[in-house]
Amino acid sequence: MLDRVLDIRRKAYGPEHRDVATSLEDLAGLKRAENKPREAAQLYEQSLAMLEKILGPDSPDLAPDLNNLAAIDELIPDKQQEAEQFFVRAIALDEKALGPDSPDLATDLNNLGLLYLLTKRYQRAADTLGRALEIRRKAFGDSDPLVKESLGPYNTALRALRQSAAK
Amino acid sequence: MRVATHLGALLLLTVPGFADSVEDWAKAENAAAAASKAGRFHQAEQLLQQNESFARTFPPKDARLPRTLLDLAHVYRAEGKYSEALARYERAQRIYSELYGAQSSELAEAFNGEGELYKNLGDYEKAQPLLEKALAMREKLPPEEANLAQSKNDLGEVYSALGQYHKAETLLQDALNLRKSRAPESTEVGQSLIALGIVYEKTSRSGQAEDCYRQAASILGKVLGDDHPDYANAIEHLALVCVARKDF
Repeated sequence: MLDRVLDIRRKAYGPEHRDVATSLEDLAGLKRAENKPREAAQLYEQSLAMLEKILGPDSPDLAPDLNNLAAIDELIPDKQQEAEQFFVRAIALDEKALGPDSPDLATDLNNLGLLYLLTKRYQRAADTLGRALEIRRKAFGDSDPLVKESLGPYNTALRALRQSAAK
Repeated sequence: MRVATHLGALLLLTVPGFADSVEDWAKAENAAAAASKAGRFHQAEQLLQQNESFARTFPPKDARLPRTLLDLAHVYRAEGKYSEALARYERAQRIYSELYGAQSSELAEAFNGEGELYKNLGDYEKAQPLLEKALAMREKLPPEEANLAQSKNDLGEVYSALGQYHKAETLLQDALNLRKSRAPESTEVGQSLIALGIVYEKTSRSGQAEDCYRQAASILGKVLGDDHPDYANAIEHLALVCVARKDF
C-alpha cells in the first residue's frame, strides 16, 4: 500500500516533491520495523537528499531524517562516527531554526547523549544529556515522562564518571 | 436578509443595469471557479487577475471587487503563494466590513480563508483565532448562508494539531455529520474522516482510526480516482496505522 502511495505521488508531482520524500520515509520506517536497516538507511538517504534540494541545507525539516539515519547507524559499530555527525547536524539545524529552548532540540541532544553513553564517552554524555534534561524540565515540568527519559541515562553517565574518577 | 453573493451569476440577477460589465466580470468569475475546481489554478489565477484589474475600475462600494479579491486569494493559497493571498484576504476583510458591517457570510469566508492559509503554513496559533471568529459568525448566520461544516472541520484540524483533542473531536464529528447529510460520499467527507482518524490515533484509539481511514480511502478512491494524491494520503494513513497496530 505504501508503494502505491509513492507511485501516485511521483505521477502527480514528479520525482522530487516533499510528499514523495514523505513516502520514502514511510517506506524506510517499514523496512526498519522489518529489521532491514540497510534498506531503511538507503531510503532515508534518498529522502534527505531530496529535501535538501527542495528546502535548502539549513531547513530544520531535515532533522527527522538525520535523526533516523543516525539511529540506524549507531547500532552498527563501524558507523557510529557517521551517526554522531548526523546527530550533530540535526542539533545545529534545530538550534538555529527553533532556538535554544526547543523541545525538538532536546530530542536531538538526548539522542546524541545516548550515543556518547553507548560509546562510553561519559563526560560528553553527561554534558549533552544534561542540556536535554534542562530544556525538557523548563518546557514540561519535573514529572514529565520525557524528563525521566533523559534523567535515567544522565545519572548513568554521572555514575560512570564517578567510578572512573575513583579508580 | 441580504442575498448571498457567492457567484457572479447571483449578482447579475440582483444588480440590473450593469449588464455588459457585470456579464463579462461574472463570466470570468465563473470560468475561474470551474478552472479552480478542476485543479487548473494557473488558469484561474490569470482570469481572476484580469477581473481584479477590471473590478478596480468599478465605482466604490461595488461588491464585485472584494468578491474577486477573495476568489483570487483562495487560488493563490491553493498555489502556495501565501503573501499574495494574505494581502487579498486582508483587503477583502476591510472592504466587506465597510460594506456589510461586522457580520456577514463574506466576512466569515475571508476570515476562514486566512485561517486556512495559516493552517496550511503550520502556524496554528495564528490560524486558531481567525477560524474561531469565522465559526462564531457562521453559527449566527442562516444555515444556508454559512458553510458551518467547513469552519468546524478547519478549526477541528487546528485544535488537533495543537494537541486539544477533545475540542477537536467534537468539531470534526459535527463537521462529518453535516457533510454526510449533504452528500454521503464527497471529498469533504473524506477529508473530515481523515482528520477524525488522526484524533483517534493520537488518543490511542487506533481501531477507530483505522475504520475512519478505510472509509476515507474508499470514498476518495471512488470520487477522485485511485491516481489522486488525496486518495494517496488516505491510504498512507491507513497503511501506517495498520503497521503501528501490528507493532503494539
